[in-house]
Amino acid sequence: MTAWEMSEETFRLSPSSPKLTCAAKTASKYSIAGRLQAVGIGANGGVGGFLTNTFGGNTFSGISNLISTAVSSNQTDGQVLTQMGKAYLRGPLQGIPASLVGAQGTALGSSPTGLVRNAAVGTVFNAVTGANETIVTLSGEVSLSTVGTTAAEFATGVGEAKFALDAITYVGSLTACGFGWAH
Amino acid sequence: MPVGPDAAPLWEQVLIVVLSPPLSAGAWWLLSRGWGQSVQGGSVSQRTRTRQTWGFWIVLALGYLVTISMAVYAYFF
Repeated sequence: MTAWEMSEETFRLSPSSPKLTCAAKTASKYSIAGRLQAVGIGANGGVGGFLTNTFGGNTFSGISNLISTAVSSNQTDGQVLTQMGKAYLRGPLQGIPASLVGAQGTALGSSPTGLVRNAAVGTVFNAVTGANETIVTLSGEVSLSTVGTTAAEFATGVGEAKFALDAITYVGSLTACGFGWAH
Repeated sequence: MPVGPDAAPLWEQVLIVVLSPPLSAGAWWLLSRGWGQSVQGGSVSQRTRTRQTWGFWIVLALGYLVTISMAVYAYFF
């Protein structure tokens, strides 16, 4: 067996674990999207549910689901395409730094979701600071004396906080699934 | 709350408690690096890098806090 076949076999076995599937499902339930759907926003599936999950879902669950869907032969084509669509919206690199894989400055290093998120974060930034500027024009160079930070740093912090919440939620969910508390 | 009837085997529970925090913290670090590069246009500020370094350790510590607390709760309460 070649190294590639071994790694492929490992790749195939690990994500199909029911505990990982359980963790992804549980973490999604407690994600921003899960909370929105609990109050009826995007709860009926379709375009609304897709967008809510894509923009507000747990990033770690998304990665886990994408790997599970891609390697599982039990999934329908529709499910695979949905996951691939979400993966496309999140960007081909799924948040992995483009410089690490030599994709900096290429199409691989960007995503439509990133642009939308930037715009959303820019709106929050303007609401908080009163600055009437877009995230593109601020892009790291304009310093705001009132908050002592730049718009880009602010946006970076928002993303980091979201990822941290996702990470801890996923760890908690995986542990709960491991102990048999969640299914 | 005791361990549920369909809990994972003990060795898998130990793996989850021990390995999931560092793996998640590593994934968080990669995601944050990618997000920072995307938002700041490739040249990430020193302030952000410092925050990401601290963030990694904070996420790691919180991860262990969650998993160990849940393990203690599962087996000692």
